[in-house]
Amino acid sequence: MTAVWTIVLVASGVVAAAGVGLRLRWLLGRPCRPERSRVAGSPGRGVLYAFTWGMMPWAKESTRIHLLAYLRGIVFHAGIAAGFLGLTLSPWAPGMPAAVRWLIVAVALIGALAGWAGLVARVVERSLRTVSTPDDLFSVALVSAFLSTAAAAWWDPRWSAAFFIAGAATLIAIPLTKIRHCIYFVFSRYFFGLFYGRRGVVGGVQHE
Amino acid sequence: MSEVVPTALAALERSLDRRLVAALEVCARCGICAESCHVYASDPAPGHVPAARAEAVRTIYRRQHDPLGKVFPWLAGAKDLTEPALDALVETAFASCTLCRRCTINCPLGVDTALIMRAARSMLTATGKAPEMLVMLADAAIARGEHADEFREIYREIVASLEEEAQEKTGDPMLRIPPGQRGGRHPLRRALRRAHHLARGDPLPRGRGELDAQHVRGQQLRPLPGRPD
Repeated sequence: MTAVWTIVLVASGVVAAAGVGLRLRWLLGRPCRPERSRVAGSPGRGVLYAFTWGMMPWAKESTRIHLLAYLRGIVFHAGIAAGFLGLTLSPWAPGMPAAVRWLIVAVALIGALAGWAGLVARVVERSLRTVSTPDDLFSVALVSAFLSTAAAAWWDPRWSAAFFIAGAATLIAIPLTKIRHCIYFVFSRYFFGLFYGRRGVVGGVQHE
Repeated sequence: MSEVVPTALAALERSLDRRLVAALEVCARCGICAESCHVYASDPAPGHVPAARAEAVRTIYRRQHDPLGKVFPWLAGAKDLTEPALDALVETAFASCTLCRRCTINCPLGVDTALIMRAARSMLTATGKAPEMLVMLADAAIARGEHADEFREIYREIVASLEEEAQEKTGDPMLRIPPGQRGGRHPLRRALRRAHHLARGDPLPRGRGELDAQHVRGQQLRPLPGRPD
């Protein structure tokens, strides 16, 4: 990795971090209204459920019905993790053990395929097409391209320039596009657990 | 310029707490929530997908608060609020969403679409577009300082009469609707099973001021002797 690419990627990372920071500041600057419902369960256990059992594909009717779509999402996000791991490890790529290299190639490649499949689904399926915004299509395409180039670059270093460009673009896009849902996921699941845990809907609470 | 739009935007602004912002921002529009909605189950129109329903508010929110939505609204899926859009929101917020929160339970990200619809209802109420009957009932409760919990006895009486009606309609004298009591078959579950794919242990909405149905527990769902559930 040349110094120029290092500067480009670090600068993109700084932009991403600043953007995420600004979004978090705005979110946490909003009021946090107190819950007024009668306590019928445990908010703590609800939060625990929200991040553990409640995430399992068999825990919800929706994911049982759409198991393939759910798994496609899981594989896609595992690919994203591999893509960013690959980006972080790029300076040391030549000295990496073959097992690490092939693992990144495999996970990023499968993630990319899942991403492109998701993009096709958004165009083909009527309901998905209705709810999708141009940002959704752009973001999924960008991240899928990032994963494709990640797999290609860790397979053959001649693809590195494309990988770094896609990586920089993805980093900058995080706070600006739909990719930012990764920031809000933790908050959303936390609030879900608090809300339903308090009401005793989730969290394994016995009722009157 | 009409005051309706600024009033609605001000109402949305007042509603924007952390939970609502998270709900507005986190949706990935994967569409997995579709079948969890009763309205979609009975009329599978794309507009009845909970994510699509919430988009009616998200487009407005993005135009106001999202940097991309301010600069490139077409890319972000952001729109300026107009009075016709508010009129269309009446159907979405008051008629096609019951705030049951099944979509929230079924969302992998936990998107609280009911909260978004509640914000939409606030906007519509502030602009005088909410259904008159609902506004009157709410005003009466507020004027008398009555909390929903104070209607508990009336609620039990209504449920008792519904129980008789349900027994007649189903021809099942063993059918029970036991609000806040152990035992009996879960009436909500029974109704939901007609349209949804429920598994033992699936959480159902429950709470004061929402659906005060018996929480689904394994032992409560055991079929009564001689009558398969």
